[in-house]
Amino acid sequence: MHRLWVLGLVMLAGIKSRMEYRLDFILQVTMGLVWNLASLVFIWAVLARFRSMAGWSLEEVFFIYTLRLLAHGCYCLLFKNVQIVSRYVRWGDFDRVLLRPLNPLLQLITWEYDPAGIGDLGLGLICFAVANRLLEFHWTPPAIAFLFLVVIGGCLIELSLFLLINTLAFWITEAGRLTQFILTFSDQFALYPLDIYNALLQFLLTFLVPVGFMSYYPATAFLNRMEDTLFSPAFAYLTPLVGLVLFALAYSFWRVGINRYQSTGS
Amino acid sequence: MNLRGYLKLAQAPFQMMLAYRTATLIECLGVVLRIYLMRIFWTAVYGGGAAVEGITLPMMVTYATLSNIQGLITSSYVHWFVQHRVRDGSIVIELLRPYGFLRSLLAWSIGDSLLWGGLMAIFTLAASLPFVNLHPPASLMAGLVYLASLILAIGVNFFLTTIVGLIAFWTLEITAFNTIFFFLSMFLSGGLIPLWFLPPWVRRIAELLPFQSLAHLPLSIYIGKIGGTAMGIALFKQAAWIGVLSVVVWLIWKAAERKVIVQGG
Repeated sequence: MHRLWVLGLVMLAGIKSRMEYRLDFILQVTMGLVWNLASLVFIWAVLARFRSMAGWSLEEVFFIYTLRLLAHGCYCLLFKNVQIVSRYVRWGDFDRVLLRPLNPLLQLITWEYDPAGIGDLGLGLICFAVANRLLEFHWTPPAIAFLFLVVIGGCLIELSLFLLINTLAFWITEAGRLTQFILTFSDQFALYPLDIYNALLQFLLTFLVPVGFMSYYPATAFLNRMEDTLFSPAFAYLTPLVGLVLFALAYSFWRVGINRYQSTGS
Repeated sequence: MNLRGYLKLAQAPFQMMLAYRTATLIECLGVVLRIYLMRIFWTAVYGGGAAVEGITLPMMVTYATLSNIQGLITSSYVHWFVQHRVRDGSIVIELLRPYGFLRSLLAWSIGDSLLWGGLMAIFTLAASLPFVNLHPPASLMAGLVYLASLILAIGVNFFLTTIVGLIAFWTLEITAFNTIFFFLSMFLSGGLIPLWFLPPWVRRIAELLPFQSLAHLPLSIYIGKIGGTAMGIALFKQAAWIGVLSVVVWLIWKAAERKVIVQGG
């Protein structure tokens, strides 16, 4: 608990120091929003013309988009620094982290704050409000609880994927560049129902880079379309579990990497 | 400065990018992945249905694939180049050099597009072919006119990005303007969604702006949606925009020259 308290304080200080530059802060937030808005406008404009894709209506695809954006927004708001962990390792800044009496990962996450996440999550919440209007959900307490778990699980999935890739930096110097690939999957492939992909990609997006659990699988539960869920209807409820297991895996890998760390040369 | 000097400048970005081979290779593979995703996306959206607005699925896949590949050629980062020079004050050195700053930017940009962009485009095209069915141009004539139109698109894009870059002389910071530019050119160029699929009011706005020269016009020529004399009109529109935008750039530049602020003592 004490750790979380410290984490919160450091993060708040990070936000405050960024707010020092008012206009820059607003610009960063807007950028976060605009990047996501671009893919939203794309999907919306095309589906407004074509009405549906692979049996999913515009409204349903929009809901899949919304679920991903909520999870992605939480990830960006809290953990986005994980994406540049490989940089700290390569520059040798990591030495300082190891000397301090706080979990190294928590330190890196709060090293500097990127306000863009506020824009990501902000747009996610707006989209959720719109999706609610369009689809007329009946929110029961268990459904709301499940929604929170799905968002947390999705957030953990994205965090774990980036942690796994960036931990590679302890072995490979170019690891940071691979981040681009994960981004393509989590930013683009996760936006659409998995039905549109071939068997190989469906397998990949379910078991290897499980971004399907951020949006598509839980969406089948909320939209009452579990008869269509790929592989097994049970997958619709697996997001929180997948998030936890993947994070445990990523964190163990990270521990292995730290123990191997030998600082940069000279 | 004579032409030889500018030719040397045009080779500079090529040599610079060679230093970042891995990064460039990964960028190309990223584009291949996006091309593949776009094929899947449009196939799902068409869902076996007939042509929409006279565009069949194979035409659409060809359009989207080529749009991504030619994006590697038409894209430019001169605006960041200008912002950087203005911010750290080295713009003064640029102004002292024995050649025109704008002309040097143009030489740099053309070299970047044709040499490096061309190489990336060929590599990306070769790597994408196993995943997509890229149709040949509608006719030999369409293919040739497409190439001419692509060259003009590089020109239009150069002047548009230079305008964004020159704003740095007044604001020192162009991120916000670049975001607006990015958004406008993404949707009004037709590069992401063909303009025929957009609501009529968006299409009418796009007709009046230079952005459609970047993707919509060349790509429509390639797939044969614009044919015959309409091809000539399309080329004329692009050339006219280059004329208008070059005057705008020149006027802004004249004002900017008097506005140079050098940081430090």
